[in-house]
Amino acid sequence: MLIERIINKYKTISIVGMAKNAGKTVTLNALLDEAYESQVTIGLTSIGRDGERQDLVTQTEKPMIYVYEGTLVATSESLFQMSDAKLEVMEITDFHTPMGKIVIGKVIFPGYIQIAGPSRNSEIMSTAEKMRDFGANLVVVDGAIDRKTTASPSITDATILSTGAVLSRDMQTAITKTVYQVALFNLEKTEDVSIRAIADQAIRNNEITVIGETVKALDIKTALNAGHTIGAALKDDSTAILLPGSLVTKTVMDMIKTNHHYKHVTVVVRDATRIFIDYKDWIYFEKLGVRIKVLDSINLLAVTINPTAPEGYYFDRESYKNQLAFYLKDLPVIDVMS
Amino acid sequence: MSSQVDLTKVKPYGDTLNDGRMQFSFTLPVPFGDEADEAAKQLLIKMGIEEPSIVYSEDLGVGYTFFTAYGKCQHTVDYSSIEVPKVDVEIMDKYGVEDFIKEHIKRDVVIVGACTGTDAHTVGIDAIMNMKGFDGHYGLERYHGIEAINMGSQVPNEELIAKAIELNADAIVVSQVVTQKDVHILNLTNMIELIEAEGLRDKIILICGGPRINHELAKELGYDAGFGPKTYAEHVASFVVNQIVDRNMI
Ligand code: B12
Repeated sequence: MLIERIINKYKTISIVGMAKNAGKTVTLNALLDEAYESQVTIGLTSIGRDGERQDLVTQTEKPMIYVYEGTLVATSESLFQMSDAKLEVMEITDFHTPMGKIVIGKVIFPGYIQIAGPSRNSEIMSTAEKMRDFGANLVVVDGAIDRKTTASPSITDATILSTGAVLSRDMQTAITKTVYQVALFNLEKTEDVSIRAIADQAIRNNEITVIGETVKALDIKTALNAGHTIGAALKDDSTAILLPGSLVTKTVMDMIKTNHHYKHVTVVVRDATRIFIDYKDWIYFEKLGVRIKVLDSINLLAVTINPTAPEGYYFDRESYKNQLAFYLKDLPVIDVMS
Repeated sequence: MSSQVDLTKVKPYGDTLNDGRMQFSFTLPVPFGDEADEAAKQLLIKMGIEEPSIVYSEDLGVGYTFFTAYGKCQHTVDYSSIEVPKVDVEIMDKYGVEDFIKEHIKRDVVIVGACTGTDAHTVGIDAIMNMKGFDGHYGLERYHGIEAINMGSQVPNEELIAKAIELNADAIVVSQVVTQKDVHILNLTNMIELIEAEGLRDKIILICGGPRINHELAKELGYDAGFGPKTYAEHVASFVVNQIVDRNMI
């Protein structure tokens, strides 16, 4: 059971997907059922839109969401009124979305519900806290489409990754993409205490910082489009470069083109949700000796799989699951569709 | 709306209420003639149209025929249950926006925009941003108190964001026209993820627009607003200046 790996360990978890139709909602429903059986009070929200019968983007049928008595939900005003479950209003927040203000409610009579909660990370954190104050033992933040920022350890304590055949008609390609995503989530943490100490300040001040014999904050506001500047700032004695924001392919590419010193420098980012490098580029950078580490790794609880794609093709259940499990070693791989 | 109309069962109107009458016009890749008319009629029957009649057909040459047809629709829709989320802000005209900025914001509002990713359609974003605007509505560049920067088309998300950071922009406006294989969806979520990664999300107003974008989709994607067809600069400007005040970004 998933819930056993979660209760009493984490306060807030996220479900993120590799793509739409990877089975996030089915995973969520399974979790809600398990939580009910284990008498865990859930606080539920979604950064996208969940529980509507028909998908807005693909016009395909979607699973509905059933909530039990006592569950707390954060959803937009307009969906609050439409819900089949009966809800008591606990708080009307100041958080606006294109579908109205976010309302926090408590289920007093079970039923189906549609969820469209806050989408901004700062608002998600504050909504989660509110739901915990109203009695939720565990807050679940459901993702949207292929968005993964909610997996950031600064937002949620642990994550479930949903993936499936929708990624590619070719099973090997689908597996490779997922294994790479898991590898990013599990990316090695820098244990260097001095780097960690400097990082705190760099993040707070949003300063791109080069660490060597001295510590130097660069005069740039973002690493985007600034790979050359970063490369030029690396010297013989540099050991690490701290990035408070994102790390994209072009930044790395420009950095290595400018200067060979990158070979003895570790690029440190806050967590894997800040990395935007695809698999092929990652392998290339690895070959050139680029080292990337994180300050916080993501607590990945399980990978759930959906062997069927909405286009109608599907993978052989057993071999898909077994192969993925083989690559992912100790991580549980759960077929939520079976 | 007439009082005898049952809004839970709305049907097309021809000349009497609920007659279901509709007009169709389309082209088939078949040569002009009686067989062509019959093909058009059969197609309408397959579409569920009752009593189809082809009232006009024209030879387009090279084996194509154009038709105008009438028929009766049997279906109804429940108008009373329809709810379309819309951008909830009072739309001001250009002068209204300019006064609003002078009175409440008291500094220039910076808006950067582009048609992003692989999308090469510039007309939509130009309609909103460029001086001359669209359909008799001036674009954002013409507004006093707004500094509008249009970066053009096929702009990578990271370049648009870098520009917004450089200029300390209040809003980023993104146009997406091509929607084949849902490329626009992935491109739009990538934008949001990058902005969150950069720690910018709370400091910036994020808007998307295009012929197949709407406000509801914008929510699912994590944007503050989405604008579809028939949008003018004043819609975007009214939303942005109100958000600046509501979100305390002055
Ligand atoms: C002109 C045009 C082109 C020109 C573009 C020239 C240019 N500089 O822009 C050219 C010839 C280059 C072109 C190329 C292609 N095109 Co083209 N093109 C069109 C066409 C005919 C008109 C688009 C247009 O300008 N509309 C007028 C503007 C004013 O309307 P709009 O974009 O909807 O913008 C309004 C609103 O949507 C909104 N809005 C738009 N953006 C934004 C942004 C913000 C922030 C806001 C607030 C509002 C907003 O406000 C605007 C004003 O009200 C359409 C068909 C059609 N009739 O719509 C096809 C069309 C868009 N193209 C199409 C396609 C497929 C292509 C190509 C892929 C063709 C090909 N196979 O090569 C290429 C794509 C190249 C690429 N990489 O993107 C398809 C898209 C299908 C889809 N759903 O994905 C269309 C619909 C044609 C069709 N029926 O197949 N195209």
